[in-house]
Amino acid sequence: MHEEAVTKLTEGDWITRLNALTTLSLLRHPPSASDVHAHGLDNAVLRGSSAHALICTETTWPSAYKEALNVLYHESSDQLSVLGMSVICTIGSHNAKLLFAELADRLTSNSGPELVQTLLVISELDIDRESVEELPPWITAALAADDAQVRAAAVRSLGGFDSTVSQQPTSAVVAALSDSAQQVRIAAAQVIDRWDDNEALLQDLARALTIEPNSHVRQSIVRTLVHQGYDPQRPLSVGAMKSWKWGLQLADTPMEESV
Amino acid sequence: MSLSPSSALVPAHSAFLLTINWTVALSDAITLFGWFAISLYALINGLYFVIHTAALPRLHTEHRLSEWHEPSDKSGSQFMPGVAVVIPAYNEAQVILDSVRASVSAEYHDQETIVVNDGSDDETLAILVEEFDMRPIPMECPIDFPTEPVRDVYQSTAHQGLYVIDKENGGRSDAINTGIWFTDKDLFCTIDADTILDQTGLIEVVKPFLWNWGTVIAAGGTVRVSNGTTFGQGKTPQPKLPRKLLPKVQVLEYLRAFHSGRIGLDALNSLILLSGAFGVFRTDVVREIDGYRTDTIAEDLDLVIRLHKAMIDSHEDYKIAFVPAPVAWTQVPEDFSSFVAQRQRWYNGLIENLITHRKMLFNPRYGLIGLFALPFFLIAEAIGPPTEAIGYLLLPIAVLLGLYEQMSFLLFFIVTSGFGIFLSWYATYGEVWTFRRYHKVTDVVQLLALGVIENFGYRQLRGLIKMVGLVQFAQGPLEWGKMARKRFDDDD
Repeated sequence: MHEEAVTKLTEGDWITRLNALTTLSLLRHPPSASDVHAHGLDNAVLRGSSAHALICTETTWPSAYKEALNVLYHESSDQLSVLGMSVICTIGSHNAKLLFAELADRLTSNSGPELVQTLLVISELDIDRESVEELPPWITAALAADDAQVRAAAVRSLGGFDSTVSQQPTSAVVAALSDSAQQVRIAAAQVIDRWDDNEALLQDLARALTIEPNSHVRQSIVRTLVHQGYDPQRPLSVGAMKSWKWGLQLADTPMEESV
Repeated sequence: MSLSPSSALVPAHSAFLLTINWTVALSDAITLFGWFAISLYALINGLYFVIHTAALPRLHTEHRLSEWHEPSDKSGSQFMPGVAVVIPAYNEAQVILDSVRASVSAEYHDQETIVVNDGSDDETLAILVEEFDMRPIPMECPIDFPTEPVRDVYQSTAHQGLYVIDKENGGRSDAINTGIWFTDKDLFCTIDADTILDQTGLIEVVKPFLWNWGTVIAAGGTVRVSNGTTFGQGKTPQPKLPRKLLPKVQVLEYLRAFHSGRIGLDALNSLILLSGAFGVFRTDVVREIDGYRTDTIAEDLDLVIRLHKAMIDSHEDYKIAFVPAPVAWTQVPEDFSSFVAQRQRWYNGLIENLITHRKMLFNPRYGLIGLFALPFFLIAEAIGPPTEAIGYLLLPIAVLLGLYEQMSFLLFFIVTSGFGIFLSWYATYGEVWTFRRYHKVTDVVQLLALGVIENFGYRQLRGLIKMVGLVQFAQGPLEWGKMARKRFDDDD
């Protein structure tokens, strides 16, 4: 069956090749790098499937990871598929050090959808100091990007770094609480909920609640405070008090057992 | 020069009128109109042919893609955007439960369902509260809604992420805006209260957002006719054609509209209409243009046109897409008066939007939207039908009176109804070749037969409704009107 799939990979239109790559993934029979480079790079969906097929067996992981990243971040690529993002997440979960080493050059001058998507993948990882000692320059640059969507994604990515990594992530999140874009402020509030031992950050968050003008951002802040069991304990504005009481009520709603 | 006494007493313009052969003049006028109608429909058919031809290969590709199964469980992927399903409801006690059940059981990782009870004076709210164990949140909602006042917000204790917002009546647009401002999900999906979403509908309809990350701002799916199909517990069984002729012929019409029309326009980057019954939008982008307008009766059309305008004016790269795979099942009118009211509303909504957005018409600044999509709707959907209706009223009489040639009328019939039959069979072929939700041979034969039958009465009726609608539009604003609802488990 895998021979038939390999044949289909080298012939037919891109959907035929897509199905062939999926078959190879399911059969745990990775395609050759040359076949992938010749027939598996047409678009983001195909690249994602190619990458997934390359890492489909554990025995090929260390060398296959680099090849998969080569495919996903090919020069013709400007974005990732959801499957591609899942592959990057898998690589990051198993070998964050290799992932960041490979990403270092690829994302330095990238500012488009691919960067945003990669940052979102990073936000789903658990990266300790052994893997990454400090924030990569491309994330630091993304935190200061002109595009609010990039900044928000960069703030979310900080949630993937644990507290043993340098102080950079926490400083960046505090700065993001006063960003001009509401989506960045929302991202900052949500990231704080990811970390333990974050008393100081919760204090900053409570302070932000008192001056936040946007009701949606206030909701995100309150959600984090309530989830962390942190009472603001300061005079709140009318809007902030409404948001606080609302958040408490939502959290108090008991959910029935699933039927 | 001497004048006869009679001629000296007749005014010049009257003398002119007396010299005209009225029979010949009338015949010439009718002939002129006949050729105008034939030429107009030749143009319209050419445009439809282009659209339908663009649709077919794209439909086939989309079908093949919909059959591809990703080697990972996408429904649970943490990278799928969150979706809020917003269901506006006004006096929908008969149908709301099935619609909500389908939404809460949709296969999707991160979604919430927000039913907005828009000041119903029936049992809609009570039914929802009882069925889904809703608990009112005893606090004022802190969201700054730009809508009619919100009375209460209810949260379900049985289903995570199910809310009912009870508010003062403000209309469908106002209700949807309430849901849009309430949610914090990246995307929102509008579903009508009489519409049932396929279980995999959300996964399929967000695909364009994933395949063009950050670019796609709206996507629509296919709406199919639910009449005649039994729905139990919100799940979708094998669809059946309705028994009655009126809803049955609408099945074919919806197939044409979605499998040929929408997908063809999408292939030509000219999509200006996503169904109000099933569309997904980026929440932030819609909020930026202040949500749905509340002073229009075709708010779905208006929203998409305004989205195009806003993105083009701000020079942003964007796309509005259509995917045929995801399906929402909706009830269509079964009685004549509801049908007429619905079609008049759609037509008057189109006219209103063409007038509102007239500066975009034929405007090269708006690319294909201004130069193709809007003019196509003006010619084919606004001017065409009343012209055709006048033709079907006037020309047969003129033939009988000897004022119009039989062959010319036959030509008129061929370019209108004849080509209409071709387009219906084309859409049926697309259905059979691809998704084939109606897979019985008898259903396919019925659809083919309907492609012929609808041109002897139904097509002319639609044109007449639009012609009358034009007169009514000139007289004043229309309202939504009322459609008789049936429960989804009522088999007709």
